[in-house]
Amino acid sequence: MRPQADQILRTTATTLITQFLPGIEKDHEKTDLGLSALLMMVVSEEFDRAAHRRIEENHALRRIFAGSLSVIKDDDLKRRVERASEKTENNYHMSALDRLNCELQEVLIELHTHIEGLAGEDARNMNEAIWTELENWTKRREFTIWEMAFAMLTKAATRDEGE
Amino acid sequence: MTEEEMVERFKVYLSHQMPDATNIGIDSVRSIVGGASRQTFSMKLNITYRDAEVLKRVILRREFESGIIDTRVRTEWDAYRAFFNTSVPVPEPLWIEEDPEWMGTPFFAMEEIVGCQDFFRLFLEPPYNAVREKVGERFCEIMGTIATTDPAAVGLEGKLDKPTPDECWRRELDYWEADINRDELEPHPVLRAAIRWLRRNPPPPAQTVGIVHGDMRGGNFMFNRDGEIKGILDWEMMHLGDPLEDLAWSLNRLFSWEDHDRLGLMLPRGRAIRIWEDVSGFKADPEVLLWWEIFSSVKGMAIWISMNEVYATGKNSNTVICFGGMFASDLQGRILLKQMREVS
Repeated sequence: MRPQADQILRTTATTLITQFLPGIEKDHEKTDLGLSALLMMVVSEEFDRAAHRRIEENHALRRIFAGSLSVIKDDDLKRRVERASEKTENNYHMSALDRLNCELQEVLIELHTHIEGLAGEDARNMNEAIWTELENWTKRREFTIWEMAFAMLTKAATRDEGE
Repeated sequence: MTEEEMVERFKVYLSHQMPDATNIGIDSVRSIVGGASRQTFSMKLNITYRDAEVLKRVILRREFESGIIDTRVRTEWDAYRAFFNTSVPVPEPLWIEEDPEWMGTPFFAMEEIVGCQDFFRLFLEPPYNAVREKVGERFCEIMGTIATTDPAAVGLEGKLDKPTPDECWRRELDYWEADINRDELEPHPVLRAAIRWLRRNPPPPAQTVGIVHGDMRGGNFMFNRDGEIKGILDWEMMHLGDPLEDLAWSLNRLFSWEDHDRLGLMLPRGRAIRIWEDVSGFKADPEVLLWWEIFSSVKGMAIWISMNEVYATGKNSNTVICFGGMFASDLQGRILLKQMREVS
């Protein structure tokens, strides 16, 4: 598809903000349209990375799972973590990638809870590895649009102040 | 409910409340955006009552059919009744109606505070940047005053559940964790790790069990260009608990994103805490306050997750809810990660 979906969203959002927003009188309609345009930009940002971040994260989680097997003290959990470490993407629709990603994250939470309760250097190292991945987890979900949103909202409030 | 329906129904309600009124006019109606828990309207009432013309600007707050936070207008109403005409400035409460027959859901009305702003990012812009520290000082004084107000002395005795000092933290954490369990649309491993940390490292019993506003922060009070605070708003999460909960929530970095060391973009953190300690007489031990600040991030995440849930499931299609939930959960998630890296 050309132009690509994210490009269409960005362009349409810009048109809404620059051409249509200034002509709207009612506060709540202005806010609705402005925020809708910003949300289109959010979706545009997510569109490009949506598959990448899930696949990248699934790889990272499987690496953690594989590396944790020698540390886990609970046999049932070990079996589940091992099974999770072997799961691969065989369907690249977003809905399927998302399901697998959520499944692996649930296992990560269980694993993290277990590791936190263990003593010893191996457990400490594994805990640190999980936290490093959680930093990446957070980073992958960041959006860059908020600064622009803050500026728009402040401008609107400053304008109201002048009226 | 549309604005037009709301106006008509409110007129009928006012006629019922004031049978002696010969004319009830409502104009200059404006929907106030930004609230996640209530549908809020500003309007001008023009009432002829016993041959006198009464003009009044009022705010009407109506429960959403599907609210983000499970709170009743009665709680807010009780707070405004309790603090009206005290040193904690609040608008005058006017009417409350809990029978959904009138407006579809319970609602209340209060006086509108005019000539003020509530958007806290204005503290970064002239002319408000010049008075932000003055506003911040007053904000901390008021927060300290709320913490030391005897619930019985302001008519709140028996209206709010009273936990014991050692129950305060657990009750709040249980409540918000249950909220997350109910509304979470996807796993949140950092948030879950934070909840586990909070349970492993509980704070000591509260110094007192006092009135907690529950949402004491920039955006929930009205200030003017002279640096005065004219009204503390949004009391829907008021409860009895550990006063440090309010202090920690006000320090939530989400409300001071551009300047984390300034409470609500107003006052340097250290000074803010000192004022609160001086006025309340309580101690904000750094370790205990840290517990409550991490809790604040968890509570924030719970609220933002609920916003995402009501939008995603079609219970509330308000754009503000969608936008607010997405931006707040992203930024609060980053804040929580940083906090957890400092303690884990």
